[in-house]
Amino acid sequence: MRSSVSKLIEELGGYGEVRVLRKGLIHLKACREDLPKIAELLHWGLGGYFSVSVGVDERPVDGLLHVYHVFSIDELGTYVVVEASVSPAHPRMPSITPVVDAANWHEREVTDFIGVEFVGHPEPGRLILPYDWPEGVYPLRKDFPYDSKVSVGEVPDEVVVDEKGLEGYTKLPVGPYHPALHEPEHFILYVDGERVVDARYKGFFIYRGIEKVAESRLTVNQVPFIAERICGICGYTHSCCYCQAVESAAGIEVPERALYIRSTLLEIERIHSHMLWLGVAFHVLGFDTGFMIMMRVREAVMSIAEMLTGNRKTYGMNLVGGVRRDINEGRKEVVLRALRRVREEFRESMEDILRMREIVSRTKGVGVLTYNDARRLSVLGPVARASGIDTDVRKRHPYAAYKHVDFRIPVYRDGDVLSRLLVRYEEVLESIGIVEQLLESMPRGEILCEEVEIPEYRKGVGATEAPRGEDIHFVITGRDNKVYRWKPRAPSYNNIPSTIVMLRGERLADAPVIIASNDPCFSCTDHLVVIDVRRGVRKVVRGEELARRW
Amino acid sequence: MLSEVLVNVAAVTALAPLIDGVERKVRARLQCRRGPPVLQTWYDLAKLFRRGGVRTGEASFTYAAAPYVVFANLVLALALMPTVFNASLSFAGDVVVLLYLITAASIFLVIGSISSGNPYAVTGSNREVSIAVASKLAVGFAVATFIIDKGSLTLRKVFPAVLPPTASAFIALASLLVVTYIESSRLPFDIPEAEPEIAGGVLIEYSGRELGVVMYSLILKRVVLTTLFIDLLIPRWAPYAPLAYIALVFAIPLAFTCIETFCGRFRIDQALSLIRGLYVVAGVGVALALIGF
Repeated sequence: MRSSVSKLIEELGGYGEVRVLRKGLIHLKACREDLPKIAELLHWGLGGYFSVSVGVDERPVDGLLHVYHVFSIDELGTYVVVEASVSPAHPRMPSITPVVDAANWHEREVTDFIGVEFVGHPEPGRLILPYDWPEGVYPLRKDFPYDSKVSVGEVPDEVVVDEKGLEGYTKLPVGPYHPALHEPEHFILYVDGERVVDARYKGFFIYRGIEKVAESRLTVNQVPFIAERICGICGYTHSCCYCQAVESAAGIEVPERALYIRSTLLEIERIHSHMLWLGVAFHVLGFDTGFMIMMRVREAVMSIAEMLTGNRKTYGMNLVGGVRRDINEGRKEVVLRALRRVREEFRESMEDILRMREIVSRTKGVGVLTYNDARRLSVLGPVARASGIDTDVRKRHPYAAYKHVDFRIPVYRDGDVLSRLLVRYEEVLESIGIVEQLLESMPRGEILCEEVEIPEYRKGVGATEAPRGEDIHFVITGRDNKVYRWKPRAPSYNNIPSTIVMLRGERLADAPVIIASNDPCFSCTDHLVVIDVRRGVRKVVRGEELARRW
Repeated sequence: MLSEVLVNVAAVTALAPLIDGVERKVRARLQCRRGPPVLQTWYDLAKLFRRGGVRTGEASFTYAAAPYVVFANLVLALALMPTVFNASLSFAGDVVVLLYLITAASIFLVIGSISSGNPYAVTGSNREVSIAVASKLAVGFAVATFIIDKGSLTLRKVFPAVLPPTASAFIALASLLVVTYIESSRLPFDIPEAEPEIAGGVLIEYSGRELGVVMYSLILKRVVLTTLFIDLLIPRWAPYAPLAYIALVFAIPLAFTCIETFCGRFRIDQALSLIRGLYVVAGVGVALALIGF
């Protein structure tokens, strides 16, 4: 293992200056013209996957705009951060999307927010900024004040998508408001009778730019709370991820007990999230009784979270350097008893449900994502594991207390909806086992590292295995107890584009369950904080109008 | 006679939402929920009737009138059959009229829905027609078995005094029972509405009073088919018939709902292949009746 890491360093050395920032994090300062070659090497040559791109306006520091492409090399248990910089006068650099499809959205996001243009990008164009946002205003640049108002222009009536070769098919809008979605996202299905020919996606209706707020207004230790509110289902994983990123940047040692507490809560969160997903999947398949059963079983898990943290959801436990509150040892026995009951009830109901003909026949062989497509799009979490990719941050880049527990990673090869369902089902059982092990062997001691010194302009990467896959936060520390740059990337960001591939050639009736099978967390992807109908949203897509026209 | 028919129709029309209410309660209990009060369906309908609707820009006269036409069709169909009391409008050939009315209800619903121009309505209508046509054929076969048996096209003469102990009669009743289940758009067959898939399908553009009328019609459609089944099953001239009718008109949907609670939704092609199997069976029933079994 060691020798292969050094081999990797040697190989990357040909492209620029390589530094090992800390164990499991390699930094390469490369020439921007070499980016496609490096991406080719890391993604295809070394079997890594593409994780995130971060654009940073570092003009106040060195006068340049920087782009960081982060790859995970699972085999070697290391992240590789490839840095390239460009002068703001001519902000152009080669795109890596032709080599690694997964970078498509990430690069467009950098263009939207920082204003770096990627030459050779196959689908350039706005991704996140609303249509009425003025040209040439880049909101994540440092000279754009967080509270400034921009004057907006004309809003087009329709969602603009590329329809080449799809003329003549019926367009069926799924969203922005649709009973199967529960969040405002827009899929356009091109339908021939009951068959889906192709699909297009438009999201980010609820993007609110919380990273801007965090960089401008919040202090280092306030960010975990806004990070936790990124998602209403898996928020804790975001706050953990952020704290880990800062801890990695500043080299902070977190007390062992705090790591155990984090792992315990992360697994509790996974259990309730997967149960919620299973319930929703059954509802989408018309099996509402299954939804009710899942919600009943899940209720006990929510109570366990409340017993441990005082909150059913949004635990508010994390600070940089540890956790804020200890968990109540006195309730350990009650929690363990409750977990045993949850496991029994859950396994029993799932075994009954998986014997139902409608459930199996409507998920088996439906919405297939092949291994190759999964690799190409760098999908994460249960979606990747259902397509035969053995990836899990908990095993590959151990964090918190996962190196102390024993668990299995379920992997299926069929890549269909049923596989994704089974992966999540088995993960719940594994997670229950993990929580039991953690509670049994939790060491006593401190829970927070009080003396925290955070140096300026250090880079850190934090990654956790969220219920939906790898959650990654990239942090550059700043002065005055602030973060200079914070980029959270939720797993659904990498997973949603694969929905389009899964939908092609499927029946219309299966579309909702295929969309749902990715467990897309649109709010995470968009970094929603407060639910609100933003001005632009209603104007861009009007449901009734789309319907009338089509 | 006519007053009895009116009482019959009024009683069943008033009872239908209550049956649905009881079903919802039972379903809730099976799903570990407390469930709404049994009168909830009535409350829902009353609320919808009080509301004004929102119409799409292109809403035509057809779209606005269709719910009422569908409702009228089903009320008329009820008048043709004895329900609580043994009284009905009866004339030669009313069997054909009955089958026509039931089918027309589906067709008008679809016409109204399509004229809203909504793509989901079109998809829902597509499915509604596929299922309606396939299952109406099975209803036709089932009724035909009895027509052949009695040699008459008048409903009152078709309804048996005692159930003929023939194989064909049993096949006909059994397939009619299954069709009643399918046609009442229950899981796994509630495909034309399928909320999470096509957002209510045929219902998507209806709102307010018109939605109320459509919902009421869907509930009535269930009762009409259940009634047809009961009338073919129990001797209408027996003194216990009214009681038996009321008991069965509640018991059959309740049995259905117990099945429904433990089902997911079929895809349209899965449902259609099942229905096709059904009318092969019903067809065999007719053939048996023709040769006297």
